[in-house]
Amino acid sequence: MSNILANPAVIISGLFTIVAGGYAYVYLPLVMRKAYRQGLLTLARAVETKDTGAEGHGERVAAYVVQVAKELRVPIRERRRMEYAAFLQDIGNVRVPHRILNKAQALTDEEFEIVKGHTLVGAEMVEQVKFLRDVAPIIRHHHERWDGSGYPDGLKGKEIPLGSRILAVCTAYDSMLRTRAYRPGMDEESAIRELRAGAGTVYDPDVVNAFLKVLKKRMKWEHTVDH
Amino acid sequence: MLGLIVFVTALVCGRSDIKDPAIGVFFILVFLAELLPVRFPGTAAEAIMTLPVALSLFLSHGTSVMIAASTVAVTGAALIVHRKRYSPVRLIDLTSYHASMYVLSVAVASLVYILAGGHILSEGWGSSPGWLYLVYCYMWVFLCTTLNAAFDALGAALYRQDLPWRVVFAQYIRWTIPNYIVTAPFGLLFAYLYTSYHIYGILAIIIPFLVGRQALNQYANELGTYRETITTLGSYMQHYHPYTKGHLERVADLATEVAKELRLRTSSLMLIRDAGILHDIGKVGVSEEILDKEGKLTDEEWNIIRQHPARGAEIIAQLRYLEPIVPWVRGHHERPDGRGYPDALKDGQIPIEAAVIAVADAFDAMAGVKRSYREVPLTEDQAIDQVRYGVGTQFDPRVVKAFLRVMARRREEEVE
Repeated sequence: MSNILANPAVIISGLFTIVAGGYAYVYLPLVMRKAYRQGLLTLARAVETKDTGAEGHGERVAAYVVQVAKELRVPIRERRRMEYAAFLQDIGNVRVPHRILNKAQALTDEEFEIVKGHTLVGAEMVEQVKFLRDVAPIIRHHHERWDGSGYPDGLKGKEIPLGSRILAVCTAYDSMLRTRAYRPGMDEESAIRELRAGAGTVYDPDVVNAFLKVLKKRMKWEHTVDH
Repeated sequence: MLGLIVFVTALVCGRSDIKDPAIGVFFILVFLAELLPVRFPGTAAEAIMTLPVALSLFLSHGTSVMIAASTVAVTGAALIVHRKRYSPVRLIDLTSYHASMYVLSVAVASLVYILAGGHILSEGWGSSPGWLYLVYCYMWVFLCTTLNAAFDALGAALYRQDLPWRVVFAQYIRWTIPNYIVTAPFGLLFAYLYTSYHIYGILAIIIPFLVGRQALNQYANELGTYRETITTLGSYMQHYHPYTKGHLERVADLATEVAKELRLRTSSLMLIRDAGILHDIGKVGVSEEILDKEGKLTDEEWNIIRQHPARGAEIIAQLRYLEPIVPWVRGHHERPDGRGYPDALKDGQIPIEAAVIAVADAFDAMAGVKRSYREVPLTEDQAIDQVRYGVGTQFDPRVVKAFLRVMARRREEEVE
């Protein structure tokens, strides 16, 4: 028995086991997750090009979403789903015509209905992918409001999935800073004021709090980098 | 029938030897080998590790034990694997057929091995040098696979009108070539470790094997997940129009068939479907007013449309594992006469896969369902004529030839 470990064939197979095991259980999941993330992001970016000024929106929002979810102690798997949802939130815009997305004037009721449809289309598209089925509801409900006045289903409070509540806040903040076809971008302070004002009516107050904490941390970090 | 006789004889002869508990371990190994094939990602190849285990069993315990134990395991595994696919009668029929083929080929191979003077390790290592064992083992493996292929081909010649026996034979031999290069050394090593260290020797080789298999499978799974996600989402992203979905699927299918007809490399065949689905992804950012415009396009609008292959290529270039299809997508509107876009490549500069997608795309756009800028679609014959008309100017002649053969075959299948 002792001399079996000295046999070159056995040593080679032992090494092989370690290498193959490391590859299958450590390296591969890491690399593939990265590729997967990158793949979703690439597709999302392709759709963002349709909406002038939306480039990078999904990626920036996703960074906020992950941090807020961490702040709220969401488990990692769920956090990953939320991140993917943030990437793909507006993928439904592929079916919203160009001219509506980039319209400078107020939308007509009919046009607004089409814009609202992007949450449904996006959720439906994502649902077709077996591996993203759990991401679809987050996308579907990311325009719901805390008081039930949102779309598409008019869900209220905690009926709205946590991922959607987080995504709503992060997306709103990033959108407010952005210059849109119909209005110029806000500065950070006014956007924060706006979020605070919406806590409890539009947004989940807990999520807004967590988001503000995240912002504070970020600013501190930027501050230290500056000096 | 003959197989059964050999099996029973082996059982009777080997009866006294089947007390060794290690045979149980071998038995389980054969069983597992049959149930857990190793799939190679990116190809259709599959390795079933039964033969190496059978070889080592033969080397360590002799002919009769090997036949008795491995046949029972192979048969049992076959029953389990196929139990859902066939009716019970057909299942028993098929399994007994395959089992007897297996018995006959291993039996003949083993007999030849012994008659040719090969040593069996259970009798101790003979005086012959190690490489001689390897030569004998290769002979054993060669006989086994060739006989099995021959039996398979014979079966096809007798019972299957739709499959010519040559194809069956060639298929079997081709899939096994890489297999049997590995089989002999693996089987020999296995037998050697077993005879030297008994069950620990088996463990020393079976654990790395299982882990290696797991690594390959994991890779195949993850890659499958990735590709399925990208193509599904990418496909839906192009459905700004209900027409597009069917179109993409049909283009992908047709491109795959034509690529097979052209005998392109396996790596291309694996990806051409994805390329067919994703070829128009560069249109995602283009405004619907231009894509759906009924009248003539202005120069500026044309320029925007003409950018879509390049934009699509840019998008796909950022997707890992799909890099090979970047030039195919970029080139799917190029023409051999150099009048295509975006790069005005000429004959010989256009990747053949791009030319395949070009033909499939053009044909389906002409013969497919009505879309806005071509109100009345052509009939299939008219569309085929159009493709023929474009040989050498719009389309690559090799691809058109293959395309015509595919269409002729499809038509035959429809008639039947």
